[in-house]
Amino acid sequence: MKQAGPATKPGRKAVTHHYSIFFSKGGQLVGGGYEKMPNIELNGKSIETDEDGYLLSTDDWSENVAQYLAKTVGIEDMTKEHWDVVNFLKDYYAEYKIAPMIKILTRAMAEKMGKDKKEVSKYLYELFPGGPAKDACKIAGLPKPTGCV
Amino acid sequence: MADIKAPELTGRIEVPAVSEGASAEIRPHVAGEAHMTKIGFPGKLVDDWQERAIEKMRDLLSKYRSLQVFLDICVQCGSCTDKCHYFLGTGDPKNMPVARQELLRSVYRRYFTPGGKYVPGWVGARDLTEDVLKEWFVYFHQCSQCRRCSVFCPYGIDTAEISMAAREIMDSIGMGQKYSNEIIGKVQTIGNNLGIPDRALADTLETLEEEAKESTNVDVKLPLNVKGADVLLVTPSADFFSEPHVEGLVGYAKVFHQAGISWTLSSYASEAANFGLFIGNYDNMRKIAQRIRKAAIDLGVKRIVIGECGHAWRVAYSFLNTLAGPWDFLDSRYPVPQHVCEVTYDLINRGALKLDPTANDQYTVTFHDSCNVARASRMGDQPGGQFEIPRGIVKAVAKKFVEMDPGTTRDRTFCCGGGGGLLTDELLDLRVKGAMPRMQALKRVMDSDGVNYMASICAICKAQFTKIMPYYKVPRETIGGVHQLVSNAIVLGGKE
Repeated sequence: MKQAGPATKPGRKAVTHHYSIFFSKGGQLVGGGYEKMPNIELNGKSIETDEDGYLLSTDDWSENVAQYLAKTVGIEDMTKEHWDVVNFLKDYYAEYKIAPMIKILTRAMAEKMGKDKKEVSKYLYELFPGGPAKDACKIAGLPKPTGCV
Repeated sequence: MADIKAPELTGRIEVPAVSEGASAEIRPHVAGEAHMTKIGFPGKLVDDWQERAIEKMRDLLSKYRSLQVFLDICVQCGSCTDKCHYFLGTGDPKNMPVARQELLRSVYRRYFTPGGKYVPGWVGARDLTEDVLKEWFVYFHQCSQCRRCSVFCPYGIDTAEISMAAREIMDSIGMGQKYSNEIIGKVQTIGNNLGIPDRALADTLETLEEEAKESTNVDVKLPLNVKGADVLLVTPSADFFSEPHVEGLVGYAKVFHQAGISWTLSSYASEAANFGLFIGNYDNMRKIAQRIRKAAIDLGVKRIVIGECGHAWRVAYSFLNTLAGPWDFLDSRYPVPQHVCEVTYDLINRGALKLDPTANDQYTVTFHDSCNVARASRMGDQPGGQFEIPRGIVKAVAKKFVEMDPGTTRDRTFCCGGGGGLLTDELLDLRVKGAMPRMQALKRVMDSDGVNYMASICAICKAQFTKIMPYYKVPRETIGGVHQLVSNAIVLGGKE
């Protein structure tokens, strides 16, 4: 077995890593598709998620699932404001097949809460400390927004 | 994720003690079957992956003489060792550029040089084993292809090209990276990285028009799919989605409005980014670039302008002609393509824009050069235009401008820590650490000059800093675009 290290220099031993962060199946390294998160088991139902714990299908969403997903991003109690954001995202997604631009969300929430847009923008980060785009989408059962975001 | 800790901000960039294996446990998600096959790669690691990887390497060596030269000529002088932001941030010696190159070079020697074939142990040649493949996957995804090391290499060896080749080899045997490959798939079916469909894009642009009207009382338009417009603006799709990116898009719109330039966006080519570059795959890079050509022809435009996106500008400036040319149907009086900063700078110099820099009086601004713009492209007709033009704009729209340490700007700029296809959450720990050198340089001018705005012309830089600055206890609003400042300062309305 050759060492998986840089070319060794005399007197300096390279450390070999076994890269336990990769998974093997039957002793053979497997390429893609093997690192799904475990399914969410809730009320006797098994729900599939992707590597980051986002629902694979929006159809699996329910309020119970949302509460479960909220806990995975560190939100213990879903307040009315949390639900307002989540419901808006769900409705927008149903219409446009994508999460809204943050500005659209901010505008809608500012209207709903009767607050200034700048204030709401800050407030959204307080509600969803991991970022409103990613965490709120996760709780709403939407796919993860990926790109340069 | 919760235990990610940023290095302490001292204002100094110190070379860390070497710590073997410090970042060996950080890797991106491996792409699943659907994301691989969609863009032409095997869905899973193929059975005969060793042979096929070596064959792919042979193929790349025959196509790219540069790769062969880079693999042959390193003398291990060590000049690059402390130049990589990921090494400086993690202390992992395999993040020294020479060691990163050696991961591929040692295998190259084994199969392609006489010494490696017959006496591998004498020349540090390695068989391509499973551990080596895993090591490739880990460390070639801890390179943001920023090319800072190549500036300091006496031979000019470009580690980015080596990491692109390694990723291309891995994709060809079924071991791809989810983040980049999923995104490339979305561009090819929907037209942009984020996957924003036409109707959503139209709704987004309408909202921005309404907002502009509310704040300026002027009808600033953001036209979509307008046939016969003069300019096709191709911009990163983050400009349609994220803060602070959107503010820059509004800035471009105001510039076009005020200069009276007819322009349009395209829903078919609604993405400037081209992640085909990051995975070193020519076919995918070409397909994405061809979308710009088709949109330009379908809409009958005369000019192509690229928005604030670092690697998009590299692909556009350096490769667009060979990927999607010839562009003989465009107006030859303008550069093909043109950077939006070139457009704005030219208008400012001709006095065509009325600017009120006091609108940015709350800011003391510095400029973060984005790696692909700084080291892989140019702007304007003077050497160094890619450094001077964005700075020229910033100085015209804001009164207080401060430079960071010259060891960290222009062609010596540090990557934001999220470039090259690494802007994904599972790499957040690496991204926070890799941002350390830039954050130290920023910290210094924050303390000495009260800098509170770092301008950048790259969507990845903007997203990366928005995410990682809070880890350093720096407000996320500190990062913003150049055209965001333009948007604040531009005076709309009739000319006097």
